[in-house]
Amino acid sequence: MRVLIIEDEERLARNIARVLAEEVSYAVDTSADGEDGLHMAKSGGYDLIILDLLLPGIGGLDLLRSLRAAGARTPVLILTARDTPADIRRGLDLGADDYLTKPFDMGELLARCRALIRRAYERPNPVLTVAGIRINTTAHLVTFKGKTVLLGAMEYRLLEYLAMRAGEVVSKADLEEHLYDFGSEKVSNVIEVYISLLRKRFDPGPRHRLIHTVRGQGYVLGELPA
Amino acid sequence: MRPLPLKWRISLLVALAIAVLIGVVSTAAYVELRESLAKNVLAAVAPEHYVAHEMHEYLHMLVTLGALVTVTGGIIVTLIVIWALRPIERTAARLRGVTHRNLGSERLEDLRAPSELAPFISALSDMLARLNRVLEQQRQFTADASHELRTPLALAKSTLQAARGRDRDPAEYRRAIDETLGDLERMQRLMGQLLVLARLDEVAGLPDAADAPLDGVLQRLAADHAAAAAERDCRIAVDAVRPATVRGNEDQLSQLFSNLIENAIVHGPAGGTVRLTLSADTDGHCTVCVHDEGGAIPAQAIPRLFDRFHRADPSRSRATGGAGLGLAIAREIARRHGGDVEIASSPAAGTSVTVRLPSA
Repeated sequence: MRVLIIEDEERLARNIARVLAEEVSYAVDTSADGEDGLHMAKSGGYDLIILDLLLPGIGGLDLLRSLRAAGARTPVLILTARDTPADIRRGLDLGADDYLTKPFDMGELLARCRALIRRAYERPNPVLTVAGIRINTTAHLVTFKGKTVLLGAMEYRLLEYLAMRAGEVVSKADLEEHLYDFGSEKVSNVIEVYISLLRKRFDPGPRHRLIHTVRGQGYVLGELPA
Repeated sequence: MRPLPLKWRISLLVALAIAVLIGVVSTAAYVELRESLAKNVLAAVAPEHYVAHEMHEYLHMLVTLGALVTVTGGIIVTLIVIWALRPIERTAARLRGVTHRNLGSERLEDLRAPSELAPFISALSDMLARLNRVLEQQRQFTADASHELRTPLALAKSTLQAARGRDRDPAEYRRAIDETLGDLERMQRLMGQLLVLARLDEVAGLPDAADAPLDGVLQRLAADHAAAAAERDCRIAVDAVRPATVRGNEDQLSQLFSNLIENAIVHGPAGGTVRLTLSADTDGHCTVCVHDEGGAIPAQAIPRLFDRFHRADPSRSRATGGAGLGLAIAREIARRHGGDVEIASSPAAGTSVTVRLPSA
């Protein structure tokens, strides 16, 4: 999952980014400026946008308005010090999906982020079960055949994303977009490396039945679409 | 003793008038009748005891009728007055319903009141509007203050929670602590300023007014801020200071110039000079100018600089650390001392903040 934080308090953005990366293995980009943020938000690939309202350049509400006008479906969580019911109404009515006021609890912010992403992928159950693999997206715990499997951050990120879209063909471009932030180096075959790592853990046989490769299209976790 | 209500006053006066009127008319009629009867007696048309009896009957009737008319008239007038005074009761009922919540939406003009009440209602309406403006300012101030306090609080909390998430090495903990301390300092500064403003708002005049030597105040402040200036490689120059005294509160005056010097250090270029000048004008004023070599502030932005919580940058970025209260406080203090603050800014000349105060 990849999150964009548009927040002009750079330290706050850094703190949130750090916690999102460490606790829920999200790829995170930050922008301290409305115009820049809008540009990044429109470029797509984000599973969630955390938006401050007082920004240099374009204000948060205007940013939200033009983002929604451009047809973006990305969930938006407004994170702001403005806390009157009128502010909250205005934010939600302009197309935000959630509203949290500063100061906030990191744990609550994380829970809201997870909930928004679940909703966006229409996976209301925080525990994903695909082909015998149980992924507890809250605790970041993966169990397979009754045993806990310890995964590296990137492996977990890949597995969680494939599980969210289980049964669909997920293209390599999609994976690159949703799993990497701007800062990370994109090595052309790195996705293949992680896919093969996951296969070794869950799918050791010669004929892979859990993670399928669809030639020229991408990967599918679980049952192949008909 | 409270004055008698209007309705009773009017009713009693009217009843009295009726009674007097009836009394006069009756007396006249009575006299007239007695004279004509007396002629009859003289003409021996009627016996004297008969006439006396008639006169007595007539007097009785006059008194009964008079009393009846007076009382009935009084009652009718009371009812009319009560009816006529209903707009006052309606206005009062509306006013009783005015609270701080609906103050802004209350329109007394739509009360259908007789024109005599119009000046009264319009005065009330103006008063409500004035109170509403003050209340609105207070509300805005509270909202701004809470916003300003929430941001450093959010920073401190998020920094500590992020650091607490994992085991970190000591250097990282130290950084988190330092950052949090910075946030606390910002909050402390803001609370100090809020308190200064609250105290200024509370008292109308100048507490503990005395003769304050401005030259001494400026010399001391220059020394106090030298360290902060050195952090930005700036220096503070005190120019052309001749003894000048103003009548006022020295703590407040120090606060005023301290705010201006802090602004000049922060907004002037690194490595620049902040120049303080003090001059006594011939018209009984002295002028203090705090000058920095900073860039131009757009002319249209200058008046708003004095608004509470106003900052030149709409994003309220914390690059400069202030909450936008310094100039508001400075102007408030200058005005309390019978003076004012002005700002002039241009790329060539830098920025000058001039304070004019009446000399002691």
